[in-house]
Amino acid sequence: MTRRPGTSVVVRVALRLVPAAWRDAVASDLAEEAARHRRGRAWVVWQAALAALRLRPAMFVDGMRADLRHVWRAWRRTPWMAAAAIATFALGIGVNVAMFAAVDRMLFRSLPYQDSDSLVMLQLCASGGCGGAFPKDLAYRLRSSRTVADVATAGFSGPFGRSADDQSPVRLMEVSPNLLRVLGVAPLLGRGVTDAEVDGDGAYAWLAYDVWRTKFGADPQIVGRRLWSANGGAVILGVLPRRFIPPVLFGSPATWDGLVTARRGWSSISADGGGSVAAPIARLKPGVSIDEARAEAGALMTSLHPSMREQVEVQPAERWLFRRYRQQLWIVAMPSLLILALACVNLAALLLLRSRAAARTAAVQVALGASPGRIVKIALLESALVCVAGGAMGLATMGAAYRWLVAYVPALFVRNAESFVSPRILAVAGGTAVVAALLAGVLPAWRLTRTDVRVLLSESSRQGSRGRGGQWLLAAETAIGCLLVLGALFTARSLVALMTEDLGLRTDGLYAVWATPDQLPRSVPEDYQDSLTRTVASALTAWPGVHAVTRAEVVPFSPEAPPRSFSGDLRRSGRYQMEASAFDVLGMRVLAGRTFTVDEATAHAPVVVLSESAAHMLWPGTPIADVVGWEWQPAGESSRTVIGVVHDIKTSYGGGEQPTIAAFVPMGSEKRTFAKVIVRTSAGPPDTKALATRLAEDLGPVRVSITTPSADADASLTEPRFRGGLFVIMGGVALLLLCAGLYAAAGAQVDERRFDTGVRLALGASRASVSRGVIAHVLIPVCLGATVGLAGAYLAAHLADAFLYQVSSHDPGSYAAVAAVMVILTAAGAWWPARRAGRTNPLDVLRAL
Amino acid sequence: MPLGEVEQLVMLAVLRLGDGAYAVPVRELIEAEAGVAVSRGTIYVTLERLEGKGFVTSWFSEPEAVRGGKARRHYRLKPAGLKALDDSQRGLERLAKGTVVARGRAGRS
Repeated sequence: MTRRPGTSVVVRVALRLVPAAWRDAVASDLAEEAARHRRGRAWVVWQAALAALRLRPAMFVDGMRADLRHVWRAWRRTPWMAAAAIATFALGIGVNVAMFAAVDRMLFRSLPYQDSDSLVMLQLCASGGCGGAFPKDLAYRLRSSRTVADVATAGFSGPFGRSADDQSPVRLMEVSPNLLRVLGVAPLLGRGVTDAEVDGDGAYAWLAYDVWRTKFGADPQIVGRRLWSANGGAVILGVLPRRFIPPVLFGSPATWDGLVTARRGWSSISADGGGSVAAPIARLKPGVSIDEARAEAGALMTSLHPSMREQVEVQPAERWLFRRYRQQLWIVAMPSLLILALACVNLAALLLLRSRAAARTAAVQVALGASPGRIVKIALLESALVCVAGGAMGLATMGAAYRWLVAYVPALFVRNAESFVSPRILAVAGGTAVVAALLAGVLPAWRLTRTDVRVLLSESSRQGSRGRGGQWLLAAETAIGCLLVLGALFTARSLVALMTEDLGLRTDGLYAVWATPDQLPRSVPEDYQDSLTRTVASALTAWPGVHAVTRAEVVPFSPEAPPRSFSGDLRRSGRYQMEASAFDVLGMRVLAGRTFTVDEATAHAPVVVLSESAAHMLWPGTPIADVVGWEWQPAGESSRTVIGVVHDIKTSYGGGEQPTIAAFVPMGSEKRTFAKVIVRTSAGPPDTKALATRLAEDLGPVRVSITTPSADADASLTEPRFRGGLFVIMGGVALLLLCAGLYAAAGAQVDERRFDTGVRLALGASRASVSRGVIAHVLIPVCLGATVGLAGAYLAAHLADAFLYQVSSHDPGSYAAVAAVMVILTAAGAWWPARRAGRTNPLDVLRAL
Repeated sequence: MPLGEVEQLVMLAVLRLGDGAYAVPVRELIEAEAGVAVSRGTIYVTLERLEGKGFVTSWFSEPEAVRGGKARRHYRLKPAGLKALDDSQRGLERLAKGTVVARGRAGRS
């Protein structure tokens, strides 16, 4: 007997590359040809590899086609199931991809600054927390320190118009002139500011990329154009890169349309003058650690301000910049992730239920020689098709609905969102679909491979296969559902609490008026704003439809500079200058004592009206009526007589950064004022053009802008409304999916136990007890899932506290309500199958034997 | 279902070889008679697909009487395959009939 090339190890290994179905035939053919043409092993190996290279892809494609046809036929038999599964995945993947596009840049990517690792944020922190104000002289000294290369700052936004009568001005964030240099950011268009420009009196602006495109029509000649503002306007120097993020810790990064800088500006870091700047950003010198910078800044702080107890905190900008939003972003992303998890579990449960029905077919296929691998492949293919179809549908729907969605999504997300068609987002969508397909398909596939053909075929036709996999999935579905429903309940209650919030003042019919002369005096006196607002108020007194006019530093829902605080322990306090009539015009409620008289206001008398919280905080346990007449002396200031106590006012919704105590002093008590003219009308806002014409008589050419606190209040609810809406929608979807899952699980249970049910009924069991048994079958996993879900929610609830208003995340009533909803849902979902089980005719069952 | 050029060649070879049709002689016959060099892999894939379409049937012969000898995979045309081949051939003939005048024109020019 001769030895042929086909028997050597190398050849055998090469032949392993050939699909099993062809291996013997290829081996035989190659052996024959090798013998006939005197070819060696190398030739056989090479030919075997070539044959494998041709056969493998072809057979894979053919096999895939056959499997797809198989899956298609299976889905056509149960179209409702396919539609429901695809719709669920469209929602799950679509929402997740949209959410990822919105939060990607804030959560997962480096800041768009050069060498962002060496950038740090500086803050003053005390035991009560960190503040937004940073001593200007300390920032200045740090610029020439051993550890810090440079310090820059970005502050609050102000309106700038494209022309004198622009009714929708852009909001430019005031920054120090060196900000772009410190960040290492070059403008996309135009240039940075030169030293000569910094030393001059001018102001210079850079527009955000999207603002340049939308509000300025992507004008390539934008550089050099002038913007108008209360302080004399600014020259546009350029356009910022597309994904630029301003380095601000406080205030929403969304409330800016560009940057503005001026040597005389509030954010300018100079040696002259005291005061403070917003939490600055600094670039450390090469090789300097954060601890070294912190130590040096602390030493400088002690030498400059020995009486201040606050510590300088130095933290990496990379970690801190979105720190305030990071938790919120996760809270918002959470329902999307949960709904995708729910979609996966739901699909797995549906596939599992179907796999039980198909178990007999699978067993026969395996018995006839089908490989378990192919059975798994079909199950995975089935879930993959659902995920891909759902993902594509979700992506297309979200893309098409983008313009509509933008109106309901907070500006923070819109401004920082990544494009839907970017390779990164598409890759995430694809990856999500693949992972979801695997998650949903693995359990049903695994169960199919465990099908024991002998057991299954030896069972009588009356009994189906029984598995606990479905019950575990139902429990998981319930746990996820509980989290979503609880989230919906909390956010909805929080939103209602915000919308019905007692602000302590009335915003309806209230308007705040700004007048900005085109030409400011060369040197602006300290009382300039005071006399300007006096002129505007005087003009508005006789204006048609205007009931009352006043001047106050309280401007509800205005993103302008916040009130000044008292020093010492009262850092989270607000000091507002008010005219005597301001309390009435703003609709503030007096709880004890009185407000200023006109004489007191005119004479800048040393009196003060406190808010209710201020009175309680300053004199704990004392009734507020007793406080009236007492003397109050803030640290480092002269004493004031408390003449009244008013209801707490809120100039924005929720707790947030509201001053914990508020004190109202007569207008003119301070040299400078940030007062605005407030009018209450019944005929809408005053006509800006007519008012500008009237004011021109006294002030020369002037630009008038009017804000509506009630509209601003509504806009400030965008974020909680979005959060609440998202959770409520997802909670509703979760309940629907859960109901469908319960119905399917109970239905499958009824079908599987039809014979047992028939026998029990024949032996005298009542129909009610049979129905109860079906409900109990699904109630057990639901109770288990609800317990796990609610316990998990309770443990993680503190994470949501910062986003809930007047709602406790550990409120036992809410947890009980969700548990009750789950029980009712179980009864509702299982009722119809239970009723069907109770109506089983024992004779029909026994006849079918 | 229309047949491709390689499919027609393979089916004609299988038909001509009768019970002795397996990949090696099929390939050699095509090369010798039609003058077309077809790779071994292409022959295998074509036979696989023809069997999937139900045009040919295969069976394994007894293993060769040598050490490590393998069984050959033989093919035979099924009635459906024969009909598909006939239909394909007739289609080609019909198409060719219409080219007589054109051939004359092409020959003159």
